[in-house]
Order: sequence, then structure tokens, then C-alpha cells
Amino acid sequence: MNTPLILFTIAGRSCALCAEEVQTVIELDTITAVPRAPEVVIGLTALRSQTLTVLDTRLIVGQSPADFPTDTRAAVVEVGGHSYALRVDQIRDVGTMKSDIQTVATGFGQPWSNFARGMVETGSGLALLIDPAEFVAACAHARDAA
Amino acid sequence: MDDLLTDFIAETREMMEAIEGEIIAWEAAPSDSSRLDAIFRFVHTVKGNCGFFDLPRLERLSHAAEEALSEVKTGKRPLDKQLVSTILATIDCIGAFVDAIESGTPHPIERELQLIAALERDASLQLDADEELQNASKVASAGGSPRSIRLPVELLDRVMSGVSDMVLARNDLANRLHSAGTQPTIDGPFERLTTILADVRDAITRMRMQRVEHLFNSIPRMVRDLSNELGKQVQIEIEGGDVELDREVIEIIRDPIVHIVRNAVGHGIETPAERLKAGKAAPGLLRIAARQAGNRISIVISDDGRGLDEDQIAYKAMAAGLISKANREKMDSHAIQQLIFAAGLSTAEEVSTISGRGVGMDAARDNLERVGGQIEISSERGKGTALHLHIPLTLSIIPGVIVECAGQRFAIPQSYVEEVEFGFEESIDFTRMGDAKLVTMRGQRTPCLSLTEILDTGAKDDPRNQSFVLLRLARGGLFALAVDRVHNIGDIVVKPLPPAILSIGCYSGVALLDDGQPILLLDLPQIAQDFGIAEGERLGELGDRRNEASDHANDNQMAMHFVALDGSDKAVRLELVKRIETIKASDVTVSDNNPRAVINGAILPLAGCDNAPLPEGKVRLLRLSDGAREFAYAVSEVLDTVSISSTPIPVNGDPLIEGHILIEGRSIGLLHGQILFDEMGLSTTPSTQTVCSVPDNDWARTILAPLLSSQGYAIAYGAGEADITIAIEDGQEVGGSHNAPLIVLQTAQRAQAASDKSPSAAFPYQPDTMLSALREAEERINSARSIG
Repeated sequence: MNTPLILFTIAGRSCALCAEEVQTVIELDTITAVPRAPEVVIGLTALRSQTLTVLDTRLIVGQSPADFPTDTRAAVVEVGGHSYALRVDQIRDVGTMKSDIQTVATGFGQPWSNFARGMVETGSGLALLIDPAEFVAACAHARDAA
Repeated sequence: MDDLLTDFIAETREMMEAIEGEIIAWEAAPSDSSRLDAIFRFVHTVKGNCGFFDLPRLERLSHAAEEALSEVKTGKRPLDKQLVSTILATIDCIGAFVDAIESGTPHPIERELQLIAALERDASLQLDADEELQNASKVASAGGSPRSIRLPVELLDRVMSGVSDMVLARNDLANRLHSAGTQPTIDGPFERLTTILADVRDAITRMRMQRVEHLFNSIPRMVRDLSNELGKQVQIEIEGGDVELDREVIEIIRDPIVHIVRNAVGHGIETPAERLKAGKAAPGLLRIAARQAGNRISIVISDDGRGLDEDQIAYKAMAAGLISKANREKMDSHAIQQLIFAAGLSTAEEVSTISGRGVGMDAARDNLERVGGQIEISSERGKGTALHLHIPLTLSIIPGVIVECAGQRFAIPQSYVEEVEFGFEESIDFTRMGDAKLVTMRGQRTPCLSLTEILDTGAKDDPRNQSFVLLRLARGGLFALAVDRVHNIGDIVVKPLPPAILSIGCYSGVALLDDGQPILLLDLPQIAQDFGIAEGERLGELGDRRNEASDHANDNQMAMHFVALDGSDKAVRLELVKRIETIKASDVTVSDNNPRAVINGAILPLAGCDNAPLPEGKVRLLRLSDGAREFAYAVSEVLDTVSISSTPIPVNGDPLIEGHILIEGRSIGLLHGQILFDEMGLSTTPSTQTVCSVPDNDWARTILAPLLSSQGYAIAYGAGEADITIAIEDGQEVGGSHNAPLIVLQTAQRAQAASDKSPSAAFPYQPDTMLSALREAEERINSARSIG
């Protein structure tokens, strides 16, 4: 309860990350492509002297990037000593957790249930609370867009 | 804890480290009283300090050791192995005690009593020295460090990345300042900031460095214990302990080095009896030397033992299925020796506790290669073995070559780069064999990989506009990498890649360029493996074909097959081809009747461009020479060198074609060299050049020699066989061939007092007067020749 959250949308779905798990939110500037990388890896970018791997969140959740436009901002999370910039549709707001983490009887569906901690009530509606480590790990199973 | 006590602990450890080597040296030469004194001083100091700190147990122990040593000093007690072992154990025990004081844990009293008894010569309580030493050495390696502060490497890394951030911020600021124009009030302090930042960065980098001594210090003790155990005598020499290495690198090479040393003592060095029988001194010699060479460290560990048994290695390798019998016969002894690094090969007859445990040679090599190091072995039967380790100074900053491909830049660790060829130079020959590509550089044919294909960028390669980076893998494999451009060489700070990118298999790290852009570091060993470039593959040494061709001009004639500018295939005799040049199209003039090309500052007449337009951008030229005359022939592509198997069949029509020859089943016109040279209207300069001997100094090299060679003279430096000797009048004896005409040049100051030296007068240096004097001298020689 009352944990600060970063609210954003991935493939049209409302999602949230705990603010303390987000290093920063950046404007994606130049992205260095990584030839032969899976499609989910958009490329590399630099945050000061740190390199960030830019991930396409729409592919991680199993959606086609063509259907959901993104803006230029990304949330930066650190997982396993590496920093990732999560390119989302849109970073909406910051908010606080207004409820406990809840589940739904039907489950969140694949692949969401792999990285969703549950849903939480925020000041601006329900959001799916994402576990950054599981989310980044899930990029290994992300499908390549057809 | 009490500050004084902390100081005592640190000081004791410092002293212990310092005398570690002394003890071993002392044991080897017990009569060396200076070493004994050093050890004596140590226990004495410890004893004194203990009294001060009220540590009665430690005081009693050090007192006993002091007593024993003083008896040895005064000759009352002989120094035997038993006593040395006991004293070593005592010193270890002191170390363990100090550790216990620091951590506040109780130290068991039994060991002390045992040791004190042994020191006081109580025979009933003699130590089982070897066993104790085994335990003791473990304790010794765990504790003990010089007086310094300990920092987690993590913290250092954080400081380092902070400094890197600062450098990037500085670069950004520099750009902004630059675009804002000169502002003296800001530029000054900014310059200062830049300098300070560079210093700090340097210092931080050095903070990660550690003397390799820290690794070497434990070796004498290990060798001593091991050789005692095996009944061998080993003398150890260590050199270059002050060389500094990245802490992490030291940790990585620790196990391999320990393994190699154990191997050397366990298998390399023979027992004293065997050694004496082989005519060697009873004690074996183990040498460890570290040297820094640029940004790499080489460590050589050598022994004068029995050397490698190649037959046995080969036998084992065959038994293990590593090589076939046919391979065995083809392998030279060097290749066989390197087999000891292959996985699954152990030459020890039985797995002993000495070197059969821990890492094997294959693991040692893998460890080293992981950090970009190399290991090699050279051995001579009966004479000894040497292992050469080449290790990068640091893991995080490496010199890298920046290359470009499909508009993107990538880095290659410079340690792999043998050679870089910019553009399609004359020293490279590019061929396609099916889908495979081969380049020939300096007569050596290597497989060629294209970076665009490796990275699957979809871009098309044009071999003519590419640069080639010749790479040698740690295991000896050689291949060329075709890239669009080679940028520069610089130090890059390498950071690890996340698993998602690492798993692609062609990148090993990421670095930041000066402008803050990430750049990927190519994982060359992996790429080579993926593309099937095997260890040590080489497609055959071709030697210098040009020389071979001219040596066997009669029985094995060679021709260069090329595509002329008009698109037709032609060939020219290889002995006429002096070089293949690629020059800019702007250096070629075809507008008037005398087409010519400028190559390296010299104008050459140009042929081959009559019927076709010149390509844009770059022009490839064959530089043809018959020894006296020279001209350039423009071509659109050089294909290959072929041997002229049959006599050229004369054809009518084109006087420039000597005849047709068969190349790959096609009839190709062979250019008629003699007619071409005559057609070009080139006068025949004397085929024997006049040799001028000039003084061997800077002035002659930079001023005189170029002038002379531009006039067609050959140059000989210093006193040598020459047709004409040119000397500088400086009051010294002039060398040169005695019967050669002499031209003496004067410095301006001496021009006034010109002395008349035969056969030519001395005169101040002026290009035209000197050249006319030269020509006179040359005429005299020629007339003399014709008379003679």
C-alpha cells in the first residue's frame, strides 16, 4: 500500500512498475542497432557512461509492434547487473498503490502471468504490476514479429 | 579495536610478507647470515611488540623462535630441515594468531605448545613437518597483506564509471563550448578541468592494478613444500615482480600459474639422482619472469627439467582420438607440444596429488583465453620446458580497432589484429571460390569473412572498396575480415553485455565511443568457430610468387590475368608487373595525347585507357617495368596469376598482343611487353644505374638521397662499393671506393677556404651545380668503361 508507482501502457494495457525498481525514465535518443539480435532487442543506447539494452515491450507481451505506436520514452530497470530500457507505448503518470496486489480468477493469460505480480488499484484506475526481473527474463521467449 | 593494535597487526603482516622469500633463500644457503638476521629481526620485533600489547602466548612463541635462531646464529645449534620447517610453521602460526586477534576469535593453544616444544628441541614432541606445512600454507595464503586499505572492487568500479560519466559530460560540454566560439574566461578553466580529469582517470585505472609479486610471493614456499614432498631439489628464480596487472587478471591467472609451477616441479624437474646421471646440477632451476610489453604482460615459466615427451603426447592424443595417425606424421614438434593444451589429454602416468588435481592445462588455457590471453609451450627433450603466457594488462580497458560495416561501427580487440589493409591495395589479391572468399596477402592465402555477411545486414559487398583486417586467433587460426572501413585504434572501456545480446554469439562486449554512442565488440573466436575457421588453418604458404616466377622464367612462365578497361580479358607476363597500384581517378590525366598517372609523387605514362572511359573514384593500375623503363597500365580488375603452359599463339592484327594463351580453357591475349614499351616512346635509360655513395647521416638521407634518386641514381649509404662517392667536407676523412670519382660538398662556412681535392673540386651544396658535377663524373666513368 502507498508504494509509489510508474504507470504506463504496453500494447494498450495499463501496467505499472514500482518506482523504486525503476532507475529513471529516459528519452530515447540514438539507438545503436545490434545486427542479428532477436527482434525484441531494439538496440543499445547510452545513459551517461552506462549502456542500456532497449527492449520492445510489445513483443514481450506477445503483441505486434505495428498495432501499437510508442512514444520516445522508456523506463530503465536493472536486472542481473545489466540495465534495460523498456520501450513502452506511453509513460502515463506516477501514482501510488491504492490497494493490495490482487489476482483475478481467470488469471492474466499468457505470457502476462509470467511477469505480472498482480493487479493494483492506482489513483487512475487498475494497473497490472510487473516484476521487472521476470519481465526481462521473458524477452527470451518473445516472438519475432512476422 | 585499538588503533595501536591495528597498526601492530598490519606491521606484522607486512613484515611476514617481506621475509617469506628470505626464508626460502635462507634454507637454500643456511650460511647466509644476512637472511638469518632478517628472520631473527622479525621474531624479535614480534616478541617486543607482544610485550607491549600484553600478548603472553604470542610472546612465548616468538621468544622460543628467537632463542632457537640465536643458537643457530652463534653456531650452538646446526640448521637442519626439521628446524627450518619448524621456523616456517612458527611464522605461519604467528600469522594465524594475528588473524585471530583481528577477528577476535580464540586461537588454539595446542599448535603453539607443539611448536615451542619443537623449537626448544624437545624430541618427544617433534612435528610432522610436512603435514603441518600443508595446513600452515593454507593459513598463510588466506591472511597477510601489506599495509594498505582494502576496497571492494565494486566500489572501484563505481568510482571508475563515475569518472567515465565525467569524461562524457566533459566531451558534451566541450562540444557546446566549441560551437559557442572562443571564450577565454571559460576555456582556461575548462582546459584545466580536462587535464585534471585525465589524471584522475589514469589514477583510477591504476587503482585496479596490483603488483604481480602478490601472486609470485607464494610460489617459493609452494615449490619448497612440493619439492620436499617429492624428494627433489629446486632452485627458484623470480624476476619482474614489480610488473603491475589488473587485480582481476591476477585472480584469473593465479590457478593456471600455480598449476604450471606444480607441473614443472612434479613432472618437469627430475630427482637429483636422475639429474646427476644426465649431467646436470642436482638442483633443478625454475625461473619465473614477468615482463611488460606495451599493454600486455608476458610471463615465462621455465624449468631445466626433462622436457616434454613428444612421442608420448602424440600417442596419448591418438589414443584419446584428438589426432589421427596421418595427422601425427604431418605435425612438427611444436604442433605436438601444443597438444598438451587440448582437452582430455593428461600425460602424467598416474593422476597424482601433485598436478593431477585442480585445473588441467586445457583449463589453464581456457582461463587465459577468456581474458584475451594466450599460452604457448616450447620444450626441448632433456633440456627443459618453457611456458609463455601473454596476458592483457587489464580486462576493462583494451586497445581496439574500430571498423565500419553497413554504416555502423564495431570494435575488434587489437590483440587479434595482425595487419590492416586499407582499401584494395596492391598487396592484396581477392578471389572467390564458389561462395567462399580468399584473400592473398604477402603470398599467404587466408580465408576471408565479410562482416556484412557475418552480421547479416543484407548490404552488398564490393571487395574493391573494402578494407581487410587480418586477424590471428589465440589458437593460431588466421583469417581476414572484410569491412567497409577501418577507422582508428583507441582504448575502449569494455562492459559486459546482457544475456539477450550475448546469446547471439557474435559480440563479446559493449563499449562507449567518445561521443557516448555504444559500440559492440566483436567476439572473434566465436565468429571464427561458427564459420568453421579451424585452429591454425592456413591454406598454404605461397612464398613470393614474383620472385619464383622470375627465377624460373624459362621453364615456368607466369602471367597476370586481368580485365582491361574496355572489358576484355588480357594477360601480361608477370615478370613485367612491378606493382599493382590503386590511385584516385583525379591523379590520372587522359585529356591530352600523353595520358599519365601520378603515383606516389612520380609521373608515369599511362596505357590501356584508349578505348574506354576511366572508372570514377579509384583506378587500378599495373605498374609495368622492364628494368629500365616503366609505365602504368590501367585495368578494371586484376583476376589472378596463371602459368603460361603453352607457347603463345601469334595473332595478326593487334601489334600490342604477343599472342594468345589458354587460361581456364579460354583464349586470352597476352600483351607484348617489348612493343608496349617501345610504343610508349620511353627512352631506354642505362640498365645499370650509376651508384652514388653518400654519407650516412640525416641530411644525406632526407635531402641528398631523394634528389639523387629522382635523377635516376642508385644510392649507397656510407662507405661502400659505388661508382661515384659524394662526401661532405667537414674536415674528416672521406670514405668510399678509392678508385671512384669523388665529389666533395662543403658546408657554407667552409666554402671560402675551398681545398682542392682530386679528382673533383669541393664546392658548396647547390642542387644544380652538384648534379652537373655528377653528370661530368658519370660521363668520365662511361667513357672509361667504353675504352676499357
